[in-house]
Amino acid sequence: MTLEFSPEARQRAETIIRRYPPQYKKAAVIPLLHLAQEEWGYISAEAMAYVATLIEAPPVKVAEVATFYPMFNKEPIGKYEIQVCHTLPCALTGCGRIVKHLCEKLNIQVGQTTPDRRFTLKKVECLAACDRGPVMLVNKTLYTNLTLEQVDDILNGLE
Amino acid sequence: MPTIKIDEKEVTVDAGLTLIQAAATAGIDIPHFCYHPGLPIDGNCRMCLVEMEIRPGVFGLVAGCVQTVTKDGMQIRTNTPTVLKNREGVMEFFLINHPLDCPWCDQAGECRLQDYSFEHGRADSRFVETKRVPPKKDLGPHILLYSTRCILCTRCIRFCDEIAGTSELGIVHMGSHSEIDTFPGQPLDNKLSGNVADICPVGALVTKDFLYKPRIWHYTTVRTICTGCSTGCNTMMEVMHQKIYRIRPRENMEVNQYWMCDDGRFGYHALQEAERVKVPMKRVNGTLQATTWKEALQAVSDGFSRLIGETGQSAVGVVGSAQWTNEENFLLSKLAREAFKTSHIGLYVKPPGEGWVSKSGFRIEADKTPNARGAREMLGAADMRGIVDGINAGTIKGLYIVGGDLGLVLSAAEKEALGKLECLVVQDIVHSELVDLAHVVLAGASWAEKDGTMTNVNGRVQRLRRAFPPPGEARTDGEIIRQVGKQCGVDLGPGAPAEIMNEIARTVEGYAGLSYSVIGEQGAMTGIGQPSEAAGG
Repeated sequence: MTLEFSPEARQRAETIIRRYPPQYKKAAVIPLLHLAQEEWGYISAEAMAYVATLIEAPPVKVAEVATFYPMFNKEPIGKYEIQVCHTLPCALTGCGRIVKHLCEKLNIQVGQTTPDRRFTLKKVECLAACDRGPVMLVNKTLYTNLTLEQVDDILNGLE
Repeated sequence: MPTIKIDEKEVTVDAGLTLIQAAATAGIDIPHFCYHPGLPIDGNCRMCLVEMEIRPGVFGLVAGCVQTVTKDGMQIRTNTPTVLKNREGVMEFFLINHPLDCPWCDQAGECRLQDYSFEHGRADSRFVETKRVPPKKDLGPHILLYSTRCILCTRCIRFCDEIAGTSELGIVHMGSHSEIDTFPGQPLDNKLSGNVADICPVGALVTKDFLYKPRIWHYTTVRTICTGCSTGCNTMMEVMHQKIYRIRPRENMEVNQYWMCDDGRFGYHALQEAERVKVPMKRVNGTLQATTWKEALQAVSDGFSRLIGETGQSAVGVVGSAQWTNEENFLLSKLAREAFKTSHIGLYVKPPGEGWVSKSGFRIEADKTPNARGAREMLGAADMRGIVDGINAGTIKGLYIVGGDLGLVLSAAEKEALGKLECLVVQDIVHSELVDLAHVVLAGASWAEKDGTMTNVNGRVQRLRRAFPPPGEARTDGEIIRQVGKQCGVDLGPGAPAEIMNEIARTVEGYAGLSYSVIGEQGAMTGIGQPSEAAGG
């Protein structure tokens, strides 16, 4: 095993695991996967295997969880992860135009990363702001009531 | 015990049984995919939904695999329009992405999806979109996964988690993208992996060994036991044209539950690929040459006649085999005592292999012979040390030794002793180390070619059944022993295995009360009856 948390992350992992009774260590799988994604940007098979050792579970059981949730990236992503909601209310308010605009502007397809590794574009399910669609999430910032001009402004504002 | 009503039939069953089990006692089959009696209950397939009275006069759908019998007067309906409509709906969902590849799927003919589709499904599909085509996967040394056919019942996952205890399998991805998979670099490789193909209710998991083989309805099924170790797993052997195509476990809760190990499952190849002794042989001028049965038997009696004493000073020894049935070893000890007039009886002991116990307690014994215990009890001998000592001391000059083992290994001391003999008669199935030393070779039968019983490590006597006759001129071992006896002027009594078992029940300690009808399909323990009760069933 070559992959291992940094000492700080290791300490946070131990705090997370201690939240659960020793016989239910497996319950820590999701917070640990979040931690792993924070640490390495995405969750590789090695990272899943490493998390499995921390919670004393078979690695495939970690893979089950990691692959279930789209929020866990299985591939390296760009510096900015753009997630556009495409659930019904956002679809009705025109997320299709937003996505098309982003694709043209970044010159990539949905699910791809720009060659300079700055942007990754994804379509996702509900981001819990249905009254303010269309919405998109750039890393941890939510932008609502989007127009194409606003999308341009947001992209231009990013380093 | 509560009495409940299932489709107007009243049955009294143990509380705690699932509705599927309770209905089975009433002869009603509730269709199901994910439920398996040997696995933890999951309730994911929804095929077993039946109607249960949840308030007086009000019926609701419950899962027959999860809901247990709890109290008197429960009312269950398995055949109402609601239940049938649910089955039809469940089947339609399962078939959305399922390919129409029954014509080349190995599961066809023993496929629940096929059967239930016929019974409960729609003739046509309302699905107009494109079917999803997930990849075919090589999961491990023995198992392939046709993901397209999978219905995600998770039987295989639960098997690996709870029975094998190796947890190689899981469901990856989400929703309609879900697939069974292994973790990269950790293939499905455990000693019980073949069982996942048996329990897969569809054709998704198949063994590489039984891929694109003839259709399952062409085989004859022989209900026998595995001879790979002293556990004696109950098996079903599928046979066609004197060839074994597949061996699967047969339920026996006292021995192997529903499982068998891969060594036993695929072990038949060793037999089928072995170079068999198909004709009797005689050593002429130092080399073994094929001969007729008449001459071979004559050679045995000629070789032994001057060594057989009249009053117990016989210079002939006999060595039995833990690969042989109880009946054959019993006849052999009778041959020794009555025809060879000897008390020099031994048993060849195979060096032990590797034992293993699974998470659920399934045992693979280190003793890789099927009938060591029975042979010991029939022969009254535990090893062949006495025989080797007798040869070295010069008291034993002739030996009748039987093999039947594909992996027979002799120690240097044994080999050296056997080389000193004036007359060595070997009854075997392959060209073993024994055959190399023999003066006369008698061609015997393998475990697939004879009837009889074997006693497993725990003392359970179980039936071994003949699938086809021995190859070439080879004969079954009991028959050969009786002919050798006849050649020596002694009638060894009845030759049918069932009749020999009756004689064993009368004379061998611990076997009283046993007969083929008592042993039946599931075997019977030794030590069950006293000699006075030896009536049999």
